[in-house]
Amino acid sequence: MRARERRVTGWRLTAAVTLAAVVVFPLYWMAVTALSSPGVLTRPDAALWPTELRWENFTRPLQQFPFARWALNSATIAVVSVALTVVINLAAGYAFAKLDFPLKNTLFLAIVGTLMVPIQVIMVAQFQVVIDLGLVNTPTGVVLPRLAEAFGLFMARQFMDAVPDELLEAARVDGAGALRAFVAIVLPLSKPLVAVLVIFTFMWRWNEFIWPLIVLPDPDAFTLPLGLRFLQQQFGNDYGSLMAMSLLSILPMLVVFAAFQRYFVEGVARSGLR
Amino acid sequence: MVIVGRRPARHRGEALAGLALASPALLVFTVFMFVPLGMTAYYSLTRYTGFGEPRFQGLDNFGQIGSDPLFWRALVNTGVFTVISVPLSVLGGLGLALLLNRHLPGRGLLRALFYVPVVISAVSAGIIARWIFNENFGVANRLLTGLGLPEVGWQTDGPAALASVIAVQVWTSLGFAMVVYLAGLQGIGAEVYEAAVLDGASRWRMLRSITWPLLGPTSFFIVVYMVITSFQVFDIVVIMTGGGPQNATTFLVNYAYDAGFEQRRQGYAAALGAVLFVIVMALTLLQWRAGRRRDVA
Amino acid sequence: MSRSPWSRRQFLGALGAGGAAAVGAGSLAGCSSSSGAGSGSASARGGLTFTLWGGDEELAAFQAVADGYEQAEGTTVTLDQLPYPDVLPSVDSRIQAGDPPDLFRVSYIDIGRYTTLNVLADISDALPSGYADAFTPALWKAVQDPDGRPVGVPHHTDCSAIVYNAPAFAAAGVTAPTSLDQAWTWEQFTQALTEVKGANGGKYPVAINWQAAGAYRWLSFLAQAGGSVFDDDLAQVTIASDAGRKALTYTQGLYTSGLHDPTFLVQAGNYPDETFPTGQPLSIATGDFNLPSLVTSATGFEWGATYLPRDVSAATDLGGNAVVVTDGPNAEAAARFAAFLANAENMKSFCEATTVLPTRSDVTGLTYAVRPDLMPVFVEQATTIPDSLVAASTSPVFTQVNQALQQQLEGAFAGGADVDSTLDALQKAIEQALQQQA
Repeated sequence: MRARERRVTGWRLTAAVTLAAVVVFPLYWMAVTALSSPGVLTRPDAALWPTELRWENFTRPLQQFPFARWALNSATIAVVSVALTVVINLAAGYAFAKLDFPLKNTLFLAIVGTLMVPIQVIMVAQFQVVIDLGLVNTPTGVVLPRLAEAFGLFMARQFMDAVPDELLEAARVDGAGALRAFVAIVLPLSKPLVAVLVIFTFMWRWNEFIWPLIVLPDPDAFTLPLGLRFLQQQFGNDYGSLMAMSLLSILPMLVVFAAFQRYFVEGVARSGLR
Repeated sequence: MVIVGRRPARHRGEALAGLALASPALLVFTVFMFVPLGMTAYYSLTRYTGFGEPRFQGLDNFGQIGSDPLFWRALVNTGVFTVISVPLSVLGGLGLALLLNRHLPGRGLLRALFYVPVVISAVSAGIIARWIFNENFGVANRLLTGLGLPEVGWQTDGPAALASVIAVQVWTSLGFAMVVYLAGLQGIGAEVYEAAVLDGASRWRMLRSITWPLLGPTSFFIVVYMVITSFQVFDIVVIMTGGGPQNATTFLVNYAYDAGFEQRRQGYAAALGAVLFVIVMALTLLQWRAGRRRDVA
Repeated sequence: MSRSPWSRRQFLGALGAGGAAAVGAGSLAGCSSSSGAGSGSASARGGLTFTLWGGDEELAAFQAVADGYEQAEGTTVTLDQLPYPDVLPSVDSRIQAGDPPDLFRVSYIDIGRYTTLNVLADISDALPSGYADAFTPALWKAVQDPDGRPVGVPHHTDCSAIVYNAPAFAAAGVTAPTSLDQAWTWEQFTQALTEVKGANGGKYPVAINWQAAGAYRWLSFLAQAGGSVFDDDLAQVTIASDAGRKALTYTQGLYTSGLHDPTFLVQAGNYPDETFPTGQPLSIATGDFNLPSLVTSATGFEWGATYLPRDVSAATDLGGNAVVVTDGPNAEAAARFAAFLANAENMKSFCEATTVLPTRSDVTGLTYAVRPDLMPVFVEQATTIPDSLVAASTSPVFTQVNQALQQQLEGAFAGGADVDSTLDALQKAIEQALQQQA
């Protein structure tokens, strides 16, 4: 029995490692390319491992293009979006799950009905709204419209729904109002939900492409994905520099992921996502 | 997701608190979702370049959409893309989750590796993929020829190009499905398998009659999420193929973006948005009903 | 755990952000959601903003002019660089938002849609008397609005010719023509390419630069066959003609006969000049503006230049760009800069540095910075830009013509869509664009 189990584990490990190698290969190849001279990898007999360490691929575009500025723009947009999304959705999730107010169910249905509406449905009109608010070329113009995303609210309500009513009742018997109960009871329980909202929102906003593409026509206001496309069109076939910059652009995301990974699995498990 | 009134309003204070807490969300949804939806409906009936005033022209845009072969091509492409990439991502994610759910040396690292493609931007993924699938110098064709297989026309052959875009989409979403399934599997206690083990049921049978049904809600969520994301696939295409060759990778959202912001036919783009909205709403209803049936079962 | 991490102030802050949006929604209901909101922030910044694209040499040359202008006039000009495909969407968005750049660079093939839009400024007052007389009349006409007022300056022109891998051609014993009147005919071109392919292990011998927004370069072949997009007064579409059939059959044949590198189609924006330096394709049609980047990238072998092939006549495309002034608070100052940019002295140094052709007849005796030996080919080739092509290229509907070409040529080149249905589709799409314009 033990021998059989060990053999099965061996097979599973082999399969997992092989698949992981396939999945990671594109990233590996990105790193190899980022360190190679132009032309080296276009030869049919080029090696599959790095044969040199060409740091110029990193330094030259960094000098030539406002990469740091793009990164700062991306970070600003992502962080502000995360903060606002968490606050808005926690509050609304609690209200829709635990409080009674006029038109509640209608409003919730209307909002959740937009869960699957892609941005492309309303982008023309939404751009007009952003123009009318005078927010073109501003981070605010990217952040505010994307707060209207039903996903976070849906998750928050599902999560809050699972908070036992008895806990809230107890607090309110002690004379606490709805708001106090929210702050004292619900928020401390909401850590996994917050973790999920933080990771999702950060990931989406950091990586977002189409909406910033529409709202930010000025290269100084670009985010990293817009900047990367800029470089793609500017560099043409200089894949070394392009891969070097792509690599730099995904590092912050990897760090955030590494930091929150534990909460993420736990959060997904406990937030009613399943 | 059945919503019923919880209890009669206790007092006005609760209603006020509820409205106050919900108001930021209601505000952003009103300004940035419901108002734009209404405006989209209006623009869809106009000819509008974005400059000057929209000119009302009735249903002309919809007539043009119906008679534009490129629209139908984009619709079919989007459907094919979704129908292929969603099951691949979902089943692949489930497979990985089953593989990594029980003890395995280096399990944490392996999970993280599978998840990495999820967190990188679609633009980066597209840039990498464009390089890998380059027909002349790409490593994909080099690996194929190394294995004694023929080269593939990733950039010149329509189905091959679509396949490469699907591959990238699956690559960037596998890990997500895996993580959510792992969370789902954690929620299934060991005791539910005990009876089956006593009965001598095979692993495959346990997977089919215990694990899969119990993962129903998880699968439902993942499918909804994947359909949303595959419907919105835009970045990868813009970077990798530009919609070609021969529009083989032109999807509805690319088509709408081009109309609105490249060709500046914003009325037409709004009409496309309206069509897209109807499609998405129909899908939502279908999925909702499927979800309900599952809840009942 | 007892103190929650959320303070009331943070919470109110969020409410405030929502409130700001609500105010916005109110004003939205008030104003009829037209453009014109947000008055120009450019004036507040001081100086002029100039949106453009360009390679390293072009940007350096523009910067030199901007620096010179700041010294002479004390006005700073900030260059906002974007990739070529993004310049017009960006400019459009900023015009729509009521905050356009003061000047922007625009190619002749796109200028038509702006001159008819009422978004550009009349710069007549900023031009010294007789300024216009030095320019090629057809190009000066391109920068005029329908009432004949100039809204910018034709900054330079360029055209395509063939750049070839010299050792590869020599290996096949193929000698490229050295004067325009000896330019290959289509048949000779095919013959030469076939020989080059045979002598070089089957490497693809040619790729033409009709990718993405360059789709219009196919019109050179149409013109070589004696055809044109429109009739003389731009009223009728004449693309579905015998000449059209001939040109499309020939160019499609380049693909089907395995001469044209199949990875360079039309829609995907990957360009032959990017891979020419790696040794395939063995020749490319390319613009003279690409010479500086080829000089730095194609270092592994000798390369030369020759003329595009000819059929009934020789022809090449109208490349090149104008710089136009938007209608805004800085229009006057921007107009003066435009006049400065295209004066004889600045045009000459710009053209020399970036290997493009001047639009002024008084700019002569240029000393090109790179490959001066090849530039005469382009200079001579430029004399074959047909008038009909200039008129079509600068017309308001040309953007749509170019888009129709992108759509339809792809099918013909990649999928073997048949010649007649492709031409019919082109004819229809362009006719539709003309109707909508009217």
